[in-house]
Amino acid sequence: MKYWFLRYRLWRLGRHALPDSLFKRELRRELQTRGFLPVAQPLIGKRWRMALASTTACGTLFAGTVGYAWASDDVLPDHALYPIREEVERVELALARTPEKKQDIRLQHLERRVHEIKLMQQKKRPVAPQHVDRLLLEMKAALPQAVNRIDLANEVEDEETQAIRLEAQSADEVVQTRQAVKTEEEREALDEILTTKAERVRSRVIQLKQTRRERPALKRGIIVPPVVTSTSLILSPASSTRPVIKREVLEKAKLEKKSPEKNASPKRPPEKAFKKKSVR
Amino acid sequence: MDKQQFESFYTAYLNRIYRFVFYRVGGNKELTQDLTQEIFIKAFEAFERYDPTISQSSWIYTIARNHIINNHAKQRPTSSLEDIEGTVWASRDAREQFATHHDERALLAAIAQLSPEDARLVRMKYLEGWAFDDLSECLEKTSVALRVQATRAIKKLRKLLKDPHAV
Repeated sequence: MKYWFLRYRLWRLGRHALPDSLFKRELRRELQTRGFLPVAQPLIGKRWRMALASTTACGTLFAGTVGYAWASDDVLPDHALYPIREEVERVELALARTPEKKQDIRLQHLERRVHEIKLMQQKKRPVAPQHVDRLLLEMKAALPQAVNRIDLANEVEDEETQAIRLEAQSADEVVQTRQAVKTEEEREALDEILTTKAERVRSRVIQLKQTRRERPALKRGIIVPPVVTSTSLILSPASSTRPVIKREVLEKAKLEKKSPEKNASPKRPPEKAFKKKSVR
Repeated sequence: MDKQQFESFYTAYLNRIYRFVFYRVGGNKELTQDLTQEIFIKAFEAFERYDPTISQSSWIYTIARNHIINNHAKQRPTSSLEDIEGTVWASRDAREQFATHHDERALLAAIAQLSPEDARLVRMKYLEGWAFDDLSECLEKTSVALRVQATRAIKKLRKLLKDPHAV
């Protein structure tokens, strides 16, 4: 038998005779009661413990209130805790790092506003003009932003984005009409139209985002429309790279298709012949 | 009397004294706990009279040793600690109580076969956890001599474990 193994066995045998923690605690308490051992002082003093306890309680209460204001359906625009929800939404938006994430959050906020107005209508609570204005603001904020720099630079919008903007404009008109209306019934009817428009805007924005994700996004150049891609594939099926075509050219081609005579390109002036200077 | 000093002394020697008592009362846990508490109460009462020239380990060892003898003397008036140890370690019941595994029982039986001095040294050093410096003060031998004795005792123990009739 190895020496170290025998030492290990002796050590293991010795472990049987160790006092258990319960006995140690009891003995210490007994000796402290008799005054043989000093009573251990707490790590934190009484005042600090009181301060810590009250801070923890306040913090828990605050967190609970914020959570309630954020998540509960009872907290509607006319509720006292509604400003807390608005603050939390502002912080949520500020914490979003990318524009895509910000847009997602804005869409969520829009959905929330629609849900709040619907709940207020269900509970027969009056919907104040500022609540409607807030809904309109969220709708406008949720409108799709330009996907890449070329779009932004050329202020080009596709049809889908245009349709969504028109929807938002008509919602604006509905809000203005609502301000002029006198009866409660008419106001409720306009509120319903407004919530329907907001839902439509939201669903169209989500659809648009889905479509844009499916299209290839390039760092330079512009997004290639599907028609051109399939054509290029027919011409060179083995090619893995997609051709980059300027949007201006594409728009021109579309216009030419519609009315070739009107959009005919002007004739270029004849190029001047380049004369060589004689070297002396 | 400085309670802080006594507390550091108590913390340093609790495990050692507990094990010392445990192996001398046949592994009886309740008796061990009672005796350990009484030993430390005695130590606290005598702490004021403690002479710093004597080492703390030999001082508490003497208190523990005398207290165990007094406790046994109630049952058997003429008994020494060596007699008590001899009886306890030799008994099969005690070994059954100490050890749960077969190899541990074999180890205890082998220790019991050593000479009384070697057996005491092996128990105090390897089972109870005394340091050689503390043992030299308790057993009144030099630390070097104890180390040599311990090494020889371990060799004998290895032989006994291989062949129980070797030594």
